[in-house]
Amino acid sequence: MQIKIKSLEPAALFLSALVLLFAIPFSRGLIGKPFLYGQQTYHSLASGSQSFYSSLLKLPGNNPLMFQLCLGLGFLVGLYLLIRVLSAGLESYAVLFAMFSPGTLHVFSNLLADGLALFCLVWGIFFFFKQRPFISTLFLLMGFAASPWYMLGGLVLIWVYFIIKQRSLQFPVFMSLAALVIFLLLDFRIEISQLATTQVITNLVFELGGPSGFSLITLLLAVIGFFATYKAFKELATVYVYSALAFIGMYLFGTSPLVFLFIIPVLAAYTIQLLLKRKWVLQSLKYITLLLIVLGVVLSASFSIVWAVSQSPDKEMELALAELAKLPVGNVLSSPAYGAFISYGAQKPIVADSLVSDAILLNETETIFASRDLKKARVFFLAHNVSYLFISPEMRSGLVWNEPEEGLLFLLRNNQTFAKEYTYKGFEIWKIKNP
Amino acid sequence: MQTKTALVLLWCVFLLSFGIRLYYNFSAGGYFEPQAYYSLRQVESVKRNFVTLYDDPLSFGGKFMPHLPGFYYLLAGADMLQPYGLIIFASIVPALIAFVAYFFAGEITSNPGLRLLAAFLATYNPDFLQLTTNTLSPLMLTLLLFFFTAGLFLRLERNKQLLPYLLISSLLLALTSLYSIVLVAGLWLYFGLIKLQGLKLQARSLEFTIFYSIFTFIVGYLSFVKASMSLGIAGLLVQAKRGLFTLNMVHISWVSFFSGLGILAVLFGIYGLYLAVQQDTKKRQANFLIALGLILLGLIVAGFAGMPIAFFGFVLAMASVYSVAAVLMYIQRLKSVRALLTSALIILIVIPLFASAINGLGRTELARADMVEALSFIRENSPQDSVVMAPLKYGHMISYFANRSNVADSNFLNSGDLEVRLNAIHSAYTTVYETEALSIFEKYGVKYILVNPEILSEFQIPSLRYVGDAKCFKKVYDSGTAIYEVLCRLK
Repeated sequence: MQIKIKSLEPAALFLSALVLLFAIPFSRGLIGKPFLYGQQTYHSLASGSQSFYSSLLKLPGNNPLMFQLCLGLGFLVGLYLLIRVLSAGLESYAVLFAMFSPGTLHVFSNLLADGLALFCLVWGIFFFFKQRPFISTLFLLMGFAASPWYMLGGLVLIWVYFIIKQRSLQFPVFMSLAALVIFLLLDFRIEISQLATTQVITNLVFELGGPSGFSLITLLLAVIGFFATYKAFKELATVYVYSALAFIGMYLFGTSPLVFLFIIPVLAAYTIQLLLKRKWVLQSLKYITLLLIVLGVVLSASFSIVWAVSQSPDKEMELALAELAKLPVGNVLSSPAYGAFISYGAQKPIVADSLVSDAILLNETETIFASRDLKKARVFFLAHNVSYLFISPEMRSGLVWNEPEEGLLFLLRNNQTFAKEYTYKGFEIWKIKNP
Repeated sequence: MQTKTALVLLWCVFLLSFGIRLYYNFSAGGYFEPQAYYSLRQVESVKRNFVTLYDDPLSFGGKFMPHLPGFYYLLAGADMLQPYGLIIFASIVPALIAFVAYFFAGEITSNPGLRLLAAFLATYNPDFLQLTTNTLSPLMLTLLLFFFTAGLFLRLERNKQLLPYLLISSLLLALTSLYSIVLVAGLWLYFGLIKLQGLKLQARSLEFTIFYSIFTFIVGYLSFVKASMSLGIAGLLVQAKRGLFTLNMVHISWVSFFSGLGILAVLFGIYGLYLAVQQDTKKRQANFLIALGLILLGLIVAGFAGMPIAFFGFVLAMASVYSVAAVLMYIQRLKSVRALLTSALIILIVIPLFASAINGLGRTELARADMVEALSFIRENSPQDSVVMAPLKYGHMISYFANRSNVADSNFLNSGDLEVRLNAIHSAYTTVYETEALSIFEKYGVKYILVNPEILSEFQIPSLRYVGDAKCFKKVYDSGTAIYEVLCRLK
């Protein structure tokens, strides 16, 4: 009986992963919202984006969402196989923690390059341990092309592993050179962002506002697991070095916390294994404790799904963007947070995009939104060739303004400069006359 | 002292504390300190909808209000016993600390007299007495449950049968206050100290601690996840800091620290902790007390005064068992004056503490009757969506008595623009410019402004300077507290 259940485990895990990964697009679809959400996703789809990952998405016949969901499933299968190779017994728990992690749900239901990088890295490492250097190299290089951060992470893992095992360094040297070539060819840029500790924590923890982060309960268990593995610190040196560098990366370059997706779920799984193996005197507390942990993990996954479902764009914005798309060509001024939505949805150039515009332009946009000076506004419109103003209810209620006639909103009553082209459920499109 | 005598005296300590609280609560004429009206709103919500109020349409003009609901359900239960249910509850619950302290001290000493002394010191801790009289603050239940749970935890090592009581007590604590996190931290620090000294960890204690850590985490998670997701860690820290500053809870002086806890009680307590470290480090109880003391002291040093000081007072009361025992042991050697010195010592500890505790009572600022009447007037004579402006401390009273929105109250969490609002309130009362006041009133949709001598003295102004303009301001009520209606809008 036990053997049968054991053999059903991978299938059950696969099915759970399928349900969880489809939960966000399915729920969004159910309430009439577009399946895809988030600025980064629309940035990947927008015509201006030329990254390796975007190019893959735009391949003829490719359904971007299905592609990403398949990457997610592939990643979880790869993680299961990899952990089974490295540490038998932990794979099921670790994959469960990984699949319920808000970061996993976010990255694989969104069009983020991190998804491809994670998929490639996990399979690359798996084939490496399976002594298949050719396939391993192929995956790793593809992962490198998807994101420079995973490139560095992969290189660190390879170098530290080879140094600790005192093996010939031919493979790491080859990989490093290949990575360098990819880095130069794809014109990657590394910008130092130097985040504050609070921002790093926010990014790392989903409940503190980091959509790609881990749930608090998983982190708590991982921390316990980290300390519990102190006896095996020599064997885990590669993990420690990787983690330390990943943390430095988060501080200096704002790297995504997803780089920990190989480590945190495994450490959390180790803690669960310890709890299960321990002979409890108060047996009833053991089951309640485990139940509470399951509850915590499930709750955080649920919250992340709810969060994702609430994200822009919604049906009304989609309609407004379609309306904007029908209007003659012209630059659009809106909240920089909508840059990617407008570029993709309305196929129109935008003045400022929070993902690509520099700080000076973002500040300038913020100033013009706050200003009641018509002359200043007209100068701005002329300088940036602004033809349309796109306003959402979200912009009126905190994203840009807090008051009904605050800043630029006050100027809208001037019908010599502004003409309302569209309004529906709080979405407004204004045409700028003779900027 | 015989156990029986000690128990009789313990009942006296309890009854006296209960009586004092009852007297002060009744003599306030049914009014509490202004913050208590938040609890009363929660009670009303439980009675009306069987759930506490999370989405409050009146606080800060409407916001989500994360909280732990346990205390409010108990309070709602007590309120069923009309007309004095709440007052009896507010008097009896904090007085029960005498029994909890006696119980806890039983883990430190078997001497009934010393246990009784510890119970007295904990019950008449001036800070605790003052913080839990004329109020309906969750603090009264928190402190009780905190140390009852801690005492049961210590006993669990010897008696497995106590587990159900420990579970009930600890779960209630987790549902009442975030101080359950302090207890969890104290438990882990205790294990750390035990491990450092090479003592054996008790399996039961460790298992309970693992369970309780996860349970506390889940309860806190469910209650505060919405706020933490929208604010982030930086936002939460900023708001906590702002809240502390606004309530003048930071930068506590040593004078107020000593006087709040009773000078002799502090001295005996600290000396007791020292003796516990010196002589009793092999005992788990001493380590546990030290662990809790260190965590609470850390909170006090970090600027969290008020509640942690009252908690620390309890720890000192328990620790003083060690020092008083040491002094009594010394006195025992002086055969001729033994009785005299023992009595003198007890009197020296008991009388000043009691005097200091009683002296602190009656200083609590209560809701003013004329303010309550003014707010009732607004309730009866204003549109439902009116916003009323008054200083922060009256925020909950506006919501409770007038059933109208306030501009700010002491629930800082999830109030993004707290500082802006506090500055706006200050400016609205102190400005000499009518346009400035009107722009503030317009911003927050303020329809009524409350003014009374207390508010005027708080802002150090003789009167509101701009209300003379009859076109824009109309005095609609004046009976100690005046109400001005705002009639104008800035064009």
